[in-house]
Amino acid sequence: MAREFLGGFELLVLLALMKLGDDAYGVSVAQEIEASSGRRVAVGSLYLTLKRLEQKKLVSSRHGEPTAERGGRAKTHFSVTGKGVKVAAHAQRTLTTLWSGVPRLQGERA
Amino acid sequence: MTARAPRVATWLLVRFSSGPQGEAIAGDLLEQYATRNSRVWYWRQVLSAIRADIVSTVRNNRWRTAVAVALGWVAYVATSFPTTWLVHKLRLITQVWLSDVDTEWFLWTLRAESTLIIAMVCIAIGWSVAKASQRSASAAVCLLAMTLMIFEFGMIALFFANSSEPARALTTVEWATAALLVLSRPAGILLGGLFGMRPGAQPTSAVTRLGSS
Repeated sequence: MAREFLGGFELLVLLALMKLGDDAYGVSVAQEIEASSGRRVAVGSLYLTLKRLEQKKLVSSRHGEPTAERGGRAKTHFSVTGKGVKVAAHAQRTLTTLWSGVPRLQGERA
Repeated sequence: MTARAPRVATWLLVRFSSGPQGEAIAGDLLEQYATRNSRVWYWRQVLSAIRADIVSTVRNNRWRTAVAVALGWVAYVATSFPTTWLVHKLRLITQVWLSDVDTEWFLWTLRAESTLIIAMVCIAIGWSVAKASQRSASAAVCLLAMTLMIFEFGMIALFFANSSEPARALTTVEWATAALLVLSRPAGILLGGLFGMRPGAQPTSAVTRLGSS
């Protein structure tokens, strides 16, 4: 199996989905990323990334019930697949290894 | 009290979305609008979502989009000859009808008449391109309109550059006429495309449909 590599925003989305669990949907994911990174998230870009992650089979989705506050539109709930968890774990290992080998960052942490 | 979100923006978002996620994005934006209550924010989000969707569609359906835009151009060039003939024929009839009105009114009637006919032809082309390229319709229609606008702008600039008249500042009427000529064609393509598009058509390259897994 070819190793999947994640972009910076893809990793943020994947981690936000893992943190939020099964109830994750567009708004909650955007709020989670904004709260943890301070980065403003455009909903269109978020869905584009979610679609890409779904094409890579790292994320799956299901439709919820339509609600009045959403103009009668259903939520699309997203969850991380087993493959998604493995890819996120691999990204964590890679980043940790790289970070531990950067003396300047180690000095700042100390 | 929360004001109602701009309905035109929501309609455009769902219409221009190439996949079923258009409805989900619209729902998310409506939900956030209830707390943010900013029309500017809403429009920016909608335009950003449409742009992101078009870029993604072009990337995933390069050939389909390119062929659709090329076919649109072929149709535009092919229809330009009968359209020009029709405009000239109608101009002759209009000249007979409006022989008594003053020159300024007469010229504006001719401009409006030709612009209307050309816009109608462009609406038909936009509709056909959207129908023919259903899966990448929004991207094809937008690209066709954009290239047409650049072309028309170039033609107008060329006309003024090669004009034998000495250079002078344009009057408001001349600016308005030039803007009408440049914008009427792409606007016609977009309008026709909007009505030809099926909302939420899914591009073929999407491996997994949202909600199917």
